[in-house]
Amino acid sequence: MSYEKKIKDLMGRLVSMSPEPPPFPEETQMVRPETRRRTRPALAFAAAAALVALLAVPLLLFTGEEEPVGGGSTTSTSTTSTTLPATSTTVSETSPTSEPVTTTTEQAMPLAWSGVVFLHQEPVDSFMGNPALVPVQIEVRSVSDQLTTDDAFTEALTTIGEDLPDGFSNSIPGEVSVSSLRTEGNTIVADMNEAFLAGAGGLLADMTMLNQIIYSLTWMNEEASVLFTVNDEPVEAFGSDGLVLTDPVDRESFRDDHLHVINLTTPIVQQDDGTYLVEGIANVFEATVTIAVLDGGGAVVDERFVTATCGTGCWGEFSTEIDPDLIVPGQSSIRVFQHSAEDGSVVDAITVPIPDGVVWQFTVRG
Amino acid sequence: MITATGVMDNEAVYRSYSGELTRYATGLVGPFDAPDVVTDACLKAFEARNWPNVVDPRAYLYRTVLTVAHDHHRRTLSRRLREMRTAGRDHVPDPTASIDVEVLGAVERLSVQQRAAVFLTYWEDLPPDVVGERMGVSTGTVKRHLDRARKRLGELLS
Repeated sequence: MSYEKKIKDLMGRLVSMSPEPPPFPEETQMVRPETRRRTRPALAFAAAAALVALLAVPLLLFTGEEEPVGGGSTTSTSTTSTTLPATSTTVSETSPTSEPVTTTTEQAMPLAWSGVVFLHQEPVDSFMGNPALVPVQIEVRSVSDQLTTDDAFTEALTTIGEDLPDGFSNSIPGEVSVSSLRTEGNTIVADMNEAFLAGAGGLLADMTMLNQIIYSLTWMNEEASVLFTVNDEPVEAFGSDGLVLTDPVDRESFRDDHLHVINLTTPIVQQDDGTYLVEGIANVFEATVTIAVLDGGGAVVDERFVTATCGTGCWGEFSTEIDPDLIVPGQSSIRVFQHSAEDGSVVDAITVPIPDGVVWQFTVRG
Repeated sequence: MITATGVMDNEAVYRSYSGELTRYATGLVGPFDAPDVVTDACLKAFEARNWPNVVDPRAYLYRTVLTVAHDHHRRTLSRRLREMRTAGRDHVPDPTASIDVEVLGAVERLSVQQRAAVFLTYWEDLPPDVVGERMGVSTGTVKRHLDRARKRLGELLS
C-alpha cells in the first residue's frame, strides 16, 4: 500500500469514529446586519501580577539621543546603539516614510531612536503550536529633530511588519497605533487608537498581538505592567473574544496558554566583549534548553545545553554567551529548541538569524 | 440560506454543514470532543459581528472549527495525553471496537494545524490552495504542515 493510501486509510479510520452531529444550538440568535451586537461577550482573564513598586519607571525604551529614565533593566544587553557600525544605515530617496530600510550606504538622517520590538515566529515541530516571541533591535531615523519617542516607538511597533525576513511575523495590524504612552507608578498606560479594539483576527492572534506590545513596552523594565486604554477609556472588550482589559497586564498575563515554550527576551546582538548573548525564558522538559549555532548553509557548528532556572511545568530564564569565532554576522543563525522527552528528537525549535548590524531601520517623516 | 428578511438562516446553515464539520472536528480533536467543538464553533460564528456579511459560510465555519479546535487542544492537552497513555497501557487491539486507539495515538503526534492539513488533503481530496482557504493560511504553509505531518507519521506508516 502506498504511503498516501496509508494516510487516506488512517483518515478513513478516524472519520469512521465520527459521532452524529450535535443538535442545533438553540441558544444562538440570528444576528441582523443592521442590528448586530455592539458588545462582544466578555471573557475574564487573569489580572496582572502584583506590582513591584519602583520609584521611577523607565517608560522610555529609547536611547538614541535620549537616555532612558531610571534604571530597572534586568537584561544584560544595553539598548544603546554603540555597537552598531556607524556607516551601516542609509535612507533611500524613495522611502520618505516608514518603509523598512536595509541597505548599507551612508547615513542621511539622524538617529531618533534605537530600541527593541518583539515580533514572533512559528516554531517548528511544536505540539502546542503557539507562536514564539523574538525581539529584534531596530533603529528609527527622522528628518525632524521634533520626533517624539512615542512617535518613534509607534512607528516602529506598528509598521515593522511590512517587509519581514523569513521566520519573523507581526500580529499587530497596520492600522493599529499607539496614541500616547505615560507612566503611573509601575504601570505603563498605553492609549491605543480604536483599531486596537478589533484585535488581530482570532484569539491566538489577539493574544500574540498583546504579548508583542506588552513585551516591547516592558523591555526596559520587565516588572512593569501595561494598562491599555482607547481614547483614555478602559478597554472593556478586546479582540474576537471580547477580552476585558480594564486591569493592567504584564509579561505573565498571557504567557502560559498563548506563548511558545521557548521565547527569546533579548535580541541576539554582539556585546561589548564580542560575545553574542542568547537569553530567554522557557518552560521545557527538565528545564533543558539546547542552543545550536548554524552556519550559512544550515550546518551545526556548535551545540550546547543550558539549564533554565525552572522547567517541566514552570517558566525559567536561560542565557548563554556564544564565542564570536563561531558567528558570521549576516550568515549564521541560532537555533533554540528542546529534545523530545519521548524520543529525543528536536522539537519546539525557533531559529533566529544573526544580523549584520541592526536588523531593521526605519525612516519617518518628522 | 438567507431568509426573506435578509437574515442568515443559521439553522439551515447548520443542517447543511454540521455533518461534515463534525467529521472535520473528529479529525482535529477526536470523536469525544468533536461535538463540543462544532457546537462552540457554530455559536461563535453565529454570534460574530461579521457573520451576517459572510459570503461563504461553509469556509468561515471550517476556519472557526479549526480555531476552536486549536484553543480546545491547548486547554485539554495534559488531560488528553494522560488518557492516551492510560489507553495505551491497557489497550488490547479489537478490530470490532468503535474507538480505534491506534488511530487516535497516531493523530496525537500531529499539531492541530497538521491534522487539518492532512484531513482536508487526504480525506476531502482538496488541492493545497483550497485547503489554505479553509484553514485561513497560505498554500506554502499548507505544504509545510503536510510535509511535517508526513514525517511525523512516517515511522508509524512505514
